[in-house]
Order: sequence, then structure tokens, then C-alpha cells
Amino acid sequence: MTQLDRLSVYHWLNAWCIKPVGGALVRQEPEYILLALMGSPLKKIMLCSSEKEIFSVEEQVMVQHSVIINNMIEDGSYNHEESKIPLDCVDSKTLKKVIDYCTHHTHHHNDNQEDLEAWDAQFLNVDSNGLYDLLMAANYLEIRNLLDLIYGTIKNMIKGKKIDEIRRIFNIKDHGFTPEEEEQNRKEYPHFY
Amino acid sequence: MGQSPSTTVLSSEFNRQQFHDFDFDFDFDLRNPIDHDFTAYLPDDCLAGIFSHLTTADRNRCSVVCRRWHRVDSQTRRRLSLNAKAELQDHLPAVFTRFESVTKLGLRCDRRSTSVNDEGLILISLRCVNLTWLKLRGCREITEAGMAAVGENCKALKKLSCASCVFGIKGINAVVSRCQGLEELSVKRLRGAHDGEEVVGSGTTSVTSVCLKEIVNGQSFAPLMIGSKRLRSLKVIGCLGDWDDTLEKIGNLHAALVDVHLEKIQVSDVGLVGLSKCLSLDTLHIVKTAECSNVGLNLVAENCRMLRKLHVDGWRTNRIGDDGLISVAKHCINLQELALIGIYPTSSSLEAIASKCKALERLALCGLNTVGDAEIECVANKCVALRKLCIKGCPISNVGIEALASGCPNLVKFKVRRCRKVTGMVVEWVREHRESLAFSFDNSDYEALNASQIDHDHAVNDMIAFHRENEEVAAAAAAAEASNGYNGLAMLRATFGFLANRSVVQSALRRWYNNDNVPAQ
Repeated sequence: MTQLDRLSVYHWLNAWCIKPVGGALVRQEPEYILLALMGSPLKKIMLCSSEKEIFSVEEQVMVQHSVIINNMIEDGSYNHEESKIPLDCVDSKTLKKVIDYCTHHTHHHNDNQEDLEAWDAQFLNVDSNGLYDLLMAANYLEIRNLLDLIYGTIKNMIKGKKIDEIRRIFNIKDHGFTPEEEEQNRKEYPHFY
Repeated sequence: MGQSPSTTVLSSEFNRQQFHDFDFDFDFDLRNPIDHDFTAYLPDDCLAGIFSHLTTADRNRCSVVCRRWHRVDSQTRRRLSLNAKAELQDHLPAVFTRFESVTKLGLRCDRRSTSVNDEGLILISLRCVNLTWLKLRGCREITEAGMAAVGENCKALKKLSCASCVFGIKGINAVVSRCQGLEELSVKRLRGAHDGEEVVGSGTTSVTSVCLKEIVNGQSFAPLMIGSKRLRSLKVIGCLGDWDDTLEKIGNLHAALVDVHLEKIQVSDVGLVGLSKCLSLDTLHIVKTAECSNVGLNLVAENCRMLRKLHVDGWRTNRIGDDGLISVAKHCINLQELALIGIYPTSSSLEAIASKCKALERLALCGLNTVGDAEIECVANKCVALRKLCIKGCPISNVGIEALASGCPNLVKFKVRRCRKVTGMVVEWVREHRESLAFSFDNSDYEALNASQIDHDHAVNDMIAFHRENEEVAAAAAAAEASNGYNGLAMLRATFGFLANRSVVQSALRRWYNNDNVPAQ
């Protein structure tokens, strides 16, 4: 970038000063954005799963989706030459999927809605354990759009179902109510069951 | 439970089966069965996240699935709608012990029952200190004392909506003067002592939206409207008094005004001149405001170039017509949505709109006796961006329908109602020649007397269906239908008594007195 380019970008950024972080738009100091731009566009960071496997991923991708990772990078504790971010709660299989999701959504940001939705549906074509792991990972890393996606899927599993069915689906064997309470509920809201 | 039902709970085995076949790519039972409670190890906030995406009916059911879900639901439920009869009052402590995070509360009481009173509202205000929305419907026992408690305790209140309440302006002031963060105020059918009280305006600079409906002394809200520097949305429907002065003042002060809806009120071109100073005006509805003419519309069009949505209901007084519309076509090139009702446009204005408003996506033409096949042709040929079209009570025939279905390349939805010259044969024609078009045709007769009211209400409903963005509009339209009952008529009779000495409204008056013979619906 020439000096003139940098200056004009600076002014433009100054006017807007916004940056996507974890799915939301956040004010940023223009200097910081400029620094990020000046750096190598494919700057990578290292994420380390609970199984000690290392994944290299574009910084831009993770910073856009995960609030936790964004914060770590921003407060300067992450040293690009040496550090890796340890994610002890996320196993390799799940981490790979999460990275996959973030990468796709960054690179295909401008795709039309239907294509993105189709990809998301395919992405969530996992078994119950996989879904559970994804949910925990998305919650830990604070990836808003992935969380909302998973919540939407679980919502569909609940929608319109009676209570006995819901208990079966989520394998809730012990509902924790006393027999009297359960009987009272069934009497008061028979159409729920 | 005292909660108003939202979606209906499926009750038959057959329906459940349908849900089973629907959708999911995975099923917990078939693959990898889990031997533990799936949600047992999910943190509370994840469970809360799931619940926040559910409808009220689904959520209610989830709350009795198991103890843990009951606890998480109770702790995190934000929105509550209660049937606010007097009997509820004793249960209020229990309700708000259970639901500790309520931020949006609706209290609704029907006409025949006694509602909760001030004591109940005070208790609620003490328990729900983080309340951001409060909606009161028909709570006739509440006075300004209860409202003052809300103002004192619920400092985070952003939205207040009252309908059919009797605490008068004092009650509104009790909240408005105390809640500095209030942003949206909606008041409908307010009764009670008015006594020259005015709604305070200067302190509340955060109000962005004011909606008044059928209020006898709506003028008392003028200081609020004028004093709210951030006012973006203004709706005044069926309120007495002369609004020109207020609109003039608002125009001078509020560049940020974006959305204006004026209906059945006394406003003339003077008021429109005021509005024309709001250069960011995006949406304008001038409905049954008999004193507004081409002159006013012209000025608005010239100045408010950002106008995207325009609804004009001239109420057949013929004061708004070609001149005004041509001006709109010339200046408001961003126009996306246009509804014309009860006016007499000819080819010249329709041609202008069709050629110049290239962004026009939604068009409604209702009760326009001058619009026939010849006039509609330019719409067919030139409205390239048009996606949704609704024509009611116009003298077009099958020829016009066919022209429209053949033209308008982007047309997706086309509705035709009460066009006497159109026959059922055209449905077949459209299906053959343009299969992808969703075409709806109905010729059943309505009471001619009520046609004007229904036209507008339905046009509004169509626009809502077209563009479900603004909840307020939907509520206003639903309420407009409800007000066809005797209460509404009594109010409007009073309105037109006031206007009786304005000769220009004679024809309108005659229509309303005729309506007195129509039984309340």
C-alpha cells in the first residue's frame, strides 16, 4: 500500500470504525484496523485442541466469529510467532468442524441466503453427541451465529411436541418432580402431555 | 396459568405424526442413542438460549418437562403476558417469585371483568425493576398512583403502550416524567380526567416514537411530540383538534422524522408544509385527511426525496389527484411502496409513476373509479421492479389483468378483489400463461357503504402482509378493524360533529351518518 492509499483508507476507516466481531459490529480504533490490514492478509493463528492437536487457521476468520478469540488477540496476550491458543474443552473433531464453519462463513459471506442455509443444514447433519459437542464449543468460544443455528435446530426438535415425547427425545428419565407434582401438572394441563 | 395462549398446542396423534416426518436430518433415538439426559450437562445459559427461541406455547410445555427445565425457564423468561383480571392480584407474588427476569410484560383485561388495581401494579413495579416494555389493555382499575409507581421503580422502561385505560393524561405523565429513557409511547382510547393537563415534553428527549389513536384531547401530547428531539415515528389517528400547528412546529424542529401516519384528523396543507421540512421522511400515510390537497403533497414530494413508502387515501374528496402524484413520480425516485385509495388518478399520473419510480415493488390501487384497462397498461409495460400488486374495486376487466400478468417481469403476487368487470375465466388464463405468479381473485360483494373503510383496512393489511417490518402498523390495522364496533363509531361521530362547519367535509359527513344505519359488527 502506498502512503496515499494508507491515508485514504485511514480516513475512510475513521469515518466508519466498525469491525465485525463474533457476529456483531463493534467500534474499533482505526489504527488497529490499519495495522491489521498492513499485516499479511493471511496471518494465521494456532488453536490447540484438548487432544493437543494443533490447527492453523486464518486469524481474520476466527476473530470475526469468536468473541473469546477476538478478545485474546486484542488484549495482546497472543504472540503470533510463538503462541498457540489452548482450547481444553474442545476436542479435535469438534474443533475441526468449528473452524470449518467459521471459514466457510467468512469466505462465502456474500453468497445468497438459500445457499448458506443449505450449507448450514448439511453442516449440522451430525448425531446427537456431535451436536452436543458443537453446542458446547460454540458456547465456550462465543460464536453467536453458530449458537443461534444450533438453538434453531433444537427448537425444531421441541416445536409442537408433547412433554412425554420431549422427555423421550432428550432422554430425560427422571423428571425430578414429586409424584404429586407430576400428577397435578397432568391434571391442570392435560393437553401438554 | 393466567397466561394468554399463543400458538395452539397440537392435540391429535395425527398431527404429531406429521411433525415426525418433517425435517430433521438426525434423530436422537435412531442413531447413537444417548444414555444420559442430553441437557443434563448443558450449562444453564445454553438451555436458556434454547428456550429463548421457543414460542410461548412450546416454552410453557418445556417448563413442565423436568425440574431443571422448570427452574431455568422461570429464571430466564423475559416476556410474560397475563390475563389481568382482579382474581390475578392474589397470585401476583407467586408469579413474580417464579419469573424473576421479566422485562416485557403485558396486562390484558377484557371489557366485562374487573382488572387488577393500583396495588397489583405497584407490586409488579417493585418486583420487575428491569422492565423495559409495559403493555396495558383495558386495565380500568389502574389510576395515576399505580402508573407513578411504575415510573418510580422501572427506570429502565423503554416502551409504554396503553389502550382502553382510564387514568387520563395524569397517568401517562406519571410515567413519562419519571422514565427518562422512554423511547416508545403508544396510547389508544385514553379516558379519565384531562383538565388541561399536558404531557411533559421538554425533559424527555429520548422519545423516538409516538402513536396516538382515538384520544379526545390528543393535542395534550403536542408538547411531548415537539419537545422530543429524537422523534422518528409519529402516528396520529382519529384524534380531535387541529394538528396543523403541531406538525408545523415538529417540521421545524425534527429533521429525524422518518415515519408519519396521519389518519382521520384535522390536518391541511399547512401541516404538510411542516412535514415537508423533514427531509429524511421515509414513510408517509395520509389517510382520510380531507383538507390535504395536491399543493401539500407536491411540497412533500419536492423536499422529501428519500420517500420510500406512500399511502394516500383521498376519501373521494378529490383534493389529491394527478398533480400531486405526478410530483411524487418526478421527485421520489426511491419509491418502493405505493397505495392509492379513494382518489381519481388518470393515465397521466399513472404513466409518470410507472416510468419514473423504477424501484416500485409494491402497488395497491383501491376504489379508483378512473383506473381501467387503458390506465393500467402503463403499469403492465413499465413497472419493471413490481413484485406485488393488489387491485380492488377498480373498473378493470380481464383484458387489463392479462396485460398485467403478461407484463411486469418481476411480479410474484397479484391480488384482485371486487372488480366487477373481471370474470373467473381470467384465473385459468393466468395459470396457463404465467404459472409462477400467485394470483388471487375474488368478486364477493361487500356493503358499499362500508367499502371505504374496508378498502383502507385491507390495503393496510395487504401492505403488512407485503412487508412485515413494523409491528406498530400491524397493531394499528388490527385495531382499525376492531374499531368498526360501536365504540369507534361513537368516537368518530364526535369527530365529525366538530368538523361539521367545514363545508368541504359535507360529503364525508353524509357518509358517516349513513353508516349509523349499519349494524355494529
